[in-house]
Amino acid sequence: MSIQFTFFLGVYFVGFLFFFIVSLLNIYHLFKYAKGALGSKILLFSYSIVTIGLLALTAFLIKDIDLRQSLILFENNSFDFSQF
Amino acid sequence: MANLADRLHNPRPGEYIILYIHRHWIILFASIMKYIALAWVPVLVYFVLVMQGNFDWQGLSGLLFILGSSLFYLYLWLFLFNSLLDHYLDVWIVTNERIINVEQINLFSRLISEKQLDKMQDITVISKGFWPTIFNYGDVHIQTAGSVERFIFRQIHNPRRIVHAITDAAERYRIKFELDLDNDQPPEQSQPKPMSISQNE
Repeated sequence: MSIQFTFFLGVYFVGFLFFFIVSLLNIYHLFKYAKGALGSKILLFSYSIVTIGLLALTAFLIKDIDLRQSLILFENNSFDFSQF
Repeated sequence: MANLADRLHNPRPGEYIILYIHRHWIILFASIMKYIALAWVPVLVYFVLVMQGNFDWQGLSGLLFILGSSLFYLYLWLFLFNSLLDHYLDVWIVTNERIINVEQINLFSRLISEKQLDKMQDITVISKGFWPTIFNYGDVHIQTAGSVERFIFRQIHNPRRIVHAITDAAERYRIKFELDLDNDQPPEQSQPKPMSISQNE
């Protein structure tokens, strides 16, 4: 039994999706209760920049990893820990 | 003076803001420090993996570390943003007519309450502990008439000054209220008359 590396990318995507939904809710609050205030603009700008920066850094770091590789979980009824 | 329409959702004619209070900055600072401390966790994990000698940037360990750290930092950033938002949206407003308490409890819960200044009964300042004493912050509890609920200004800077400002504003409001009552009455009715039966009907 084996798992392709793209599976972990899928798990990451689900985590990111949840992050994105909660972020949208936060931004909604910011717009609803502090619309037009300078503080809310600064908060939103810094939030966007740091989030995009984190995603860009993640993409940069994983670009050299071959995602077609597979993790062999069980072979001959034994778990191979050496892959980690 | 603050722009009233931006800061109050239902400004009244002749109303102006006396105090616009957020929590003390040290509360936000402590929260930020907590997240900065947590940000070191992936770095420590990286050093542990490298010291074990089986870390490979191009392999599975590298991929899991990068994706795990990325999610960790994204959620750390999300919680930090939440703290900033909470600090920014928690506000206590004292105007020349009322006190307004706005608290963002969590993502789906927001509390807004207001009370006329003449409904205040007593004000208590609670500042206990090492850090509140050092940084001069604390809670102000305001007991209002006709309700068990108390207004609580939480972790605000210089609570005694705030209390003085509120009691001063309440006193001015009472004087203004009494003057308005006197001015509303026609001159011939300014003297109190004994109540007759017809008036009660």
